[in-house]
This record gives sequence, C-alpha cells and structure tokens, in this order.
Amino acid sequence: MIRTIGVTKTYKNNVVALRDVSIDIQRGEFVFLVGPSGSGKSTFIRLLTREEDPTSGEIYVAGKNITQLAHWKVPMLRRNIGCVFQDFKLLPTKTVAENVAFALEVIGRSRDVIARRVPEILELVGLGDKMSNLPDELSGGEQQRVSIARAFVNRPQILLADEPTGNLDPGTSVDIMKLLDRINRTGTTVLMATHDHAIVDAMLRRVVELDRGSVIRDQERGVYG
Amino acid sequence: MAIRVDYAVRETLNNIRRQMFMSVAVILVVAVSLYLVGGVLLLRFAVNRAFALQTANVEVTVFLARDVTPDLRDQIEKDLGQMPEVSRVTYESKQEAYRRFKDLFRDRPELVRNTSPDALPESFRVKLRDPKQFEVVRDRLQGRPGIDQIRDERSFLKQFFRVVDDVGRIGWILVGLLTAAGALLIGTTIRLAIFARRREIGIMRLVGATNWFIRVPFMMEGVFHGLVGAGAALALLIATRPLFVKVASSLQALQLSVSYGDIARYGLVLLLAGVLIGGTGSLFGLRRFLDV
Repeated sequence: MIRTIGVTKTYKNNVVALRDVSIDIQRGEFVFLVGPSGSGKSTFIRLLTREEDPTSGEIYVAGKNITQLAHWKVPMLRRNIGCVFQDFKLLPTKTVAENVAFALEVIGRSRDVIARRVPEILELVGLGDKMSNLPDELSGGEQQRVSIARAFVNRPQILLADEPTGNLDPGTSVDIMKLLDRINRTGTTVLMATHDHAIVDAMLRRVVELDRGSVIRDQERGVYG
Repeated sequence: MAIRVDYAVRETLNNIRRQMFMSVAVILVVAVSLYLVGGVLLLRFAVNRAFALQTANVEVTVFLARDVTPDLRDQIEKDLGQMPEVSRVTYESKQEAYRRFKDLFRDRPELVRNTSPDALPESFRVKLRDPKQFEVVRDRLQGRPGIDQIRDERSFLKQFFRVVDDVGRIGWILVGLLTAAGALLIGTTIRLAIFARRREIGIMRLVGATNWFIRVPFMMEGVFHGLVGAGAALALLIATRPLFVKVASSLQALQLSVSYGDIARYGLVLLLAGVLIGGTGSLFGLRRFLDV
C-alpha cells in the first residue's frame, strides 16, 4: 500500500530530513512511526501526500509511483489518503457537521451523499449528538474525533496521523487510539507518527523508528524502545 | 469531476459579502475606467462618422470668384464634369450656401443676422472617384479665371479632427492606467480573500480539492466585479448622454452626434472589457496560486 525506495529528502538549507529511507507497508497494516522531534516523521508523511517532493528515491502509494505524478493528479492522490493532525485543523466558523461535510463538498460529492454520510460517520466517532456544535464548544478529544471523521468520511484506503494525541491527555488519547484501531480494522492502512511511549507500548503494533532521518529499527509488534 | 454550480455561486457570493467595502471600491474603479473607455470610444465613433458623412458627397469645394460670369461658371462646370477623376459635380448658389450657413450656426443668431447671402461665395461641390486625386484636380484648375479658391475638404476637416484625436489620445492613456488599476485592484482583493481563507484552502487541498475547484469561485468573483463595474459604466453613459450631446454640439461645425443606439452599440464591448479586466485581474491574484 505504501512503499518507499531509498528516499532522501534534503531541504534547501542543506538539512537532511530523510536519508535513504525504504519502508514497505502492506494493505491493512497499522504502523507507528516513532522517533524524537526532528527525526523526519512529519517530512515522511508530507512526502506521502505530495506536499513535498523527495530529493531522490521513489515513493509508491496504492501501487502508483507518486514521485512521477502530474501536478493535476495530486488531488486524486489525496482523496485516497485521510489526514489527521496534532492541531485538528478544523474550521472554527463551521459546525461539526459542516466541517465534515466540507471535505465531501470540495471533492464534488452530491448533496444526497453528504446528507447520508456525515451523520453516519459522526455517529461512528461518537459525536452524533454534537453535530451542530462549533469546534470551540468541544473538548480536545472531541475535536480530534471530528477531524478523524473528516479524514475518514470519504473512506480513504490510507489514514495518516501526525501526532494525533500530541495535544491530548492520556485518557483521551486512549479513546482516540481505540477509534483509529477500529478504522484500521475496516481494512484501512494506518500510519501514525508519534512519540507517545505509552500508546505505542500498549498497542503492540509494527514500529518503524527514525533517528536523524534514517530508519534505525523496523519491528513487528514492537514497543517504543 | 465537475464543479457543482451551486457551490461555486454560493462561495462567490460569500466572498463578495465578506469584503463588501472592497467589492464596492473595485466595482467603482472598474466602472469609472470603463465609463471613460466608453466615452472615448463613443467620441471616436462620432468623429469618424461625422468625417465620413461630411466627405461622403463632397471632397473638393471649388469656390467661385465674386465677379464670375454665368458663362465662365458654366464652362467650369462642364470642364469639371469631363475630368476623369470627378464622379459628381453639384452647384451651390449663394442662397443655398446661406441656408447651410444658417443651419450650421443656428446657435449663434447674431452671426447669422450679420451675414447676408451675398457675402457667401457660390461654389461647386465635387465628389472624386478617388479622394487622393485632389492635387491632380487642383493643379488643373488652379489660376483659372472665375475661381477663387479650391479646398480639399478632407484635409480641411482633418485639421479639426486632429484636435479631437489628440484629446482622444490623452483619454486612452488615462483609460489604460485606470483599467490597469482596476485589474490590479481585483487581483489584490482576491489575494486578500485567499489570505483570509488560507486555513480553509489548506484543508481543501488536504482533502483533495482540485486547484480549479479552489480557483473558480475566486475567478468568478473577479469576473463578477468586472461585469458589475461594466454595467455601472454603461448605466452612467446612458445617464450622461445629454452631456455628450452638449460637448458634441459645441463643436457645431463637425456635426457630431451621440445617440442611445450608439451607446448600446458599445454596451457589449464594455461588458466584454469588464469580463476581461475581471478575468485577468483574478488571474493576477491567483498567479502564485496557480502552481499547487
């Protein structure tokens, strides 16, 4: 589902963010990407959505070499990938339902589809009763669930999560992890960047560790280490 | 993947509402510049038409001397009629000249009162097959008894029209500057709108909205501003037609006229120009945004 071959990313100021990274992630896997700040986790995720281009190496997503993807096809790539971030990235002026609907609206889904899927997905993440609230009226955990709902409403094959529990307390983080786990069990490939030891240790999933841009460990059913 | 029309329209209207004052400013600038475009075009058109009208029948006027005898006059007419370059010759008596004079200066009765028909010369009004052959005809007639003066109406009129042309040229420079200002203002408005909504646009990209999907509402906004500005300019032209008529009639001798029909003729041009200004303006605003 995701495969990188010898990917190196050097920024303009000669900072090497990733060095010869080769990772192969199968369909339906749940993978933690761990490592200290600045180890290249976020860069790796940004490469998968073509927000950045690698300096060298090849990246395959869903069987396609995305390093050779034409500019105008990038949106289609992103429709196959749901993204969740530490800061939720919700629109403060839109209600919970509108925030989720927005993701469908801008890719041209019909009103019928939106009217059906939005309540469905919000029910799934446990926010069926908060649909007409504004994001500010929700707790951090609830806001993150809205953003997961938005990432997943289009049923992408891949879900990328960059520090999704970074702003949440441990209890809330566990709820978020349960939700991601549920999504993973629908067959969605999940790649989650984190430096939350407790979560990685509790989940016992595949762990890829980065250090200063290089993969230093790739372990099935690993712990944070 | 088609863009849903209702979405694009809603977004466009939202954008405009969010920056009401800016929109009004943009529309006003476009309106003023297109009003001037329309004004210059109309005057040019009126001038060209007046020129064509006045040279349609007469290209050369042969004024006869005060003491010309009827025999001499007939001889000149006959000779003129036989010249291969001449297509038509019309005789204008003192009385006819006076009638035309009265009509031309109907706004200045004191001038008419002080002029008697006898003060005006008789003339032959000559239409040529090829207007450029004036000199051939003049050289042939020059110095003949009975002829006072031979005038090339085209070059005579051109002197008048040259002044109008100069005014028009200054007008075009102004129009160019204002139009550029309008387009730049539209572009800037769109940049501001993009900046104000950068979070939203970021999320749109994140979830896979195509660039065109993101751009179209902004472009529609630009085109809308251009179009409304052009509409306002057109309304202003229609409203101020009396002013044009007044300006035109102050140059009585040129017989200028500006009708509502003439304004309508340029209506489409103005609206098209509005769309063009709006379109290029928004492209300028979206320029940095054009690459992913």
